[in-house]
Amino acid sequence: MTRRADNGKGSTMDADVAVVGVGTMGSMTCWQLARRGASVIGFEQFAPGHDRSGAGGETRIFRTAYHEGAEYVPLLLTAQDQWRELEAETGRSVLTLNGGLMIGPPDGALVRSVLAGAAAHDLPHELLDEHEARRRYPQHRLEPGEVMVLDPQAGFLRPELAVSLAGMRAEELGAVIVRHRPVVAVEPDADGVTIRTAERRWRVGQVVLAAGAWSNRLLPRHTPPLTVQRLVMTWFVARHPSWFDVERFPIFIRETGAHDVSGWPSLDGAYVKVAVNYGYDRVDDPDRLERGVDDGLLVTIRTAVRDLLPDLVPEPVRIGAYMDGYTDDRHAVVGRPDGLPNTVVATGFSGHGFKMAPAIGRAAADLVLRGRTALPIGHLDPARPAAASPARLRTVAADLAATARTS
Amino acid sequence: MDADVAVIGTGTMGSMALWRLARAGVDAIGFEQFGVGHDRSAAGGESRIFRTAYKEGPEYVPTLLRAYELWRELEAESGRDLLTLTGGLMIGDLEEGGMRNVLASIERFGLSHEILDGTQMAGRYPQHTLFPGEAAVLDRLAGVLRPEFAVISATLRARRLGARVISGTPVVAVEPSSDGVTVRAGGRDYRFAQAVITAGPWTARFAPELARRVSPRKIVMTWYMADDPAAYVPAAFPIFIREHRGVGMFGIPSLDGGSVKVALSDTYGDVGDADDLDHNVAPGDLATVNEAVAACLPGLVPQPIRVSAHMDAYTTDKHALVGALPGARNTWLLGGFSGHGFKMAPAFGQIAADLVQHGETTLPIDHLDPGRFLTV
Repeated sequence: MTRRADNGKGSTMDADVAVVGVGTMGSMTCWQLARRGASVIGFEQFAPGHDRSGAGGETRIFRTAYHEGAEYVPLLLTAQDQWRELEAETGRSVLTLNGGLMIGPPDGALVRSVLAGAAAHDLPHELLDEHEARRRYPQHRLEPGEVMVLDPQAGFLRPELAVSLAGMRAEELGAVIVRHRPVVAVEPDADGVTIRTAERRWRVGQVVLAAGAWSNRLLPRHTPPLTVQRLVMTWFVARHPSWFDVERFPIFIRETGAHDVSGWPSLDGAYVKVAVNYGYDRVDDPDRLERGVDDGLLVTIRTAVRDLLPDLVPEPVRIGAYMDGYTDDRHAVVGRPDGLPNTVVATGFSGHGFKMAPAIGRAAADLVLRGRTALPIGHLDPARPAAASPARLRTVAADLAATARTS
Repeated sequence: MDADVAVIGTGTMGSMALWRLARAGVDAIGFEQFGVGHDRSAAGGESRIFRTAYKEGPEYVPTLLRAYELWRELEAESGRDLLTLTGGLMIGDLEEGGMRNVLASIERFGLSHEILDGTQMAGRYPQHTLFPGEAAVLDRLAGVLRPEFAVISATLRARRLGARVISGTPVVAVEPSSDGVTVRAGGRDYRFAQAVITAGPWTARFAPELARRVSPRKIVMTWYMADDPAAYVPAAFPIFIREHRGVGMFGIPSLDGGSVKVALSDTYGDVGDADDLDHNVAPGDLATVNEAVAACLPGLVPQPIRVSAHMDAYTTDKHALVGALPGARNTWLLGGFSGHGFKMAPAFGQIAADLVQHGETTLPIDHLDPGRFLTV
């Protein structure tokens, strides 16, 4: 099964590279490594495409006019190319560019940062004033003065499909994916890395750690502490379903008053997904992600849907719970951690990583195979200075508790 | 009186009862503990099967045929697509009990069908692996229902026809007496001439004398990725039901262009209290369905990409409880549909309206009489 690789020092290895976690980042890393001829073993505690962590829930946003920071734009443009390459190699569609609307007051952080990013990188975009926005996208109820920025390069990805396909394509190209085997230890040394599962030990030249919410467990002193947040997706039924077709209803992000939500068109002609853009609560143990969501926590999204999208019946007909690991500064950690030989980490995507996954996979493959990457990932360097004060992580549960205290 | 009739629970059966009552001009109030269309009970998971050649028994066929008409009526009144006919493949040994019921339903009611042997199946529906001794019956009057759309459409339509819905309000007690029914909810007492109890998994709470015979069980739906999604769209892939090595399963074509739902017909065990449905499903609990998918549907990747938990009230004989609440003459019970009620929901809504108005119905419900569990 496994192609044997020689490390040049006489002892045989199980593979050149191990990828720990074949989820969003791990599947893309396996694919990027395999297509460049490296021998790869991916370790997955479940199986690629599972719905028990970050990826899932049918759609994820893709966009290039990026309000989290203009430094991401080159990565996103690379990601777009790479999504198209994954489609070409597998014959399946994973990225649909149906446009994206960033909605809010013109002086709000969302609209200002998107316009700044678009200007800095000369990205195509259209600013719709309140009147024009209402005319073209009447599905949204606007507050007086609110505007929309239309990003024609935005749309949605199919997360479960993308992860499954990258894993399958990597296997076609010779990678081995070990399924249903949790990794219990990762032990890097000067000559390589030992990976341990309950059944056996594996020896590889290098490791890419892409364990998502589980990352802290494997190399706790060498990866930044992550706070795991539970992310909840919610789907609603439209009174006029055809208004929410892919062609008529771009993905959107909206910051209006206290509302901070995103939405996706209906893929099945029935459901429209609208979800809160921040976590619901903290996940203490990623093995015990709670999939049931207390009815009381749904007040926030119900209110947002009622206020912002009047054609939707404001009761979720489908609820999905996922999770992701958040860093203090909300930027991911991608690179070689100090003091750990033969190790690359790609983790802490803080709820906004999916769209760039194949670019991160490519950067990780570059680091493994060439020791450096031309992709601009300096702001994701594991050795960057810690945030002066950790950004407060907004959660639905904390918001509701605060409201209950003040009323 | 607050209204003529109270409907307790506006989920699958309650929404349909409310619609049929409102349509008949009966003044009704529906009580719903959550919001209209919620995902916390039986309805949900995007799709449900409709079929008429019925492995559970030919006695259901008149109700199924009436339900078909009423689904189309609800579509016309609400302007929404609720039922897509895809045909339905019942796969198995034609001599086995469930398949005999399928054939008996066809024979007795002249249902449109085809019988396909293994070779014909391999030609027309190569998505399925058939084993020696297996054949398929294609039920032409079968397809996919949209459960959330259906419940919401019926409720909105009922409202438009004059019904009221009190949502976010659990009913604490339903107390029939000789001169009416008291419903305790939201901190007050409501008075009605009659009540219809459509409480789904919460049925036993309102019918304590049946508590040993009806209890909530967990239903888990699982979706799989197809190697070739075009082979699993509604036009190419009928809904199906089959059994493999004692494991019953059903499948529904891809509605979202990516995933195919294949789930176990059997439940994932007792829920205990319906308030405490556990939405978590341990990876190990999925081994049975994954193995069945791997054996019978080789074009699917046998690891689910979506998992969701629901529940329904199951009776000990898997037939529903439809009729007068034991000991009452003005309160009607429709519950315990045992995982196979959704497809018939508007017909049971009609039955509820018939019972309220006339004390009887022309549809066959004798086999569902709650009294069958009360004889000593």
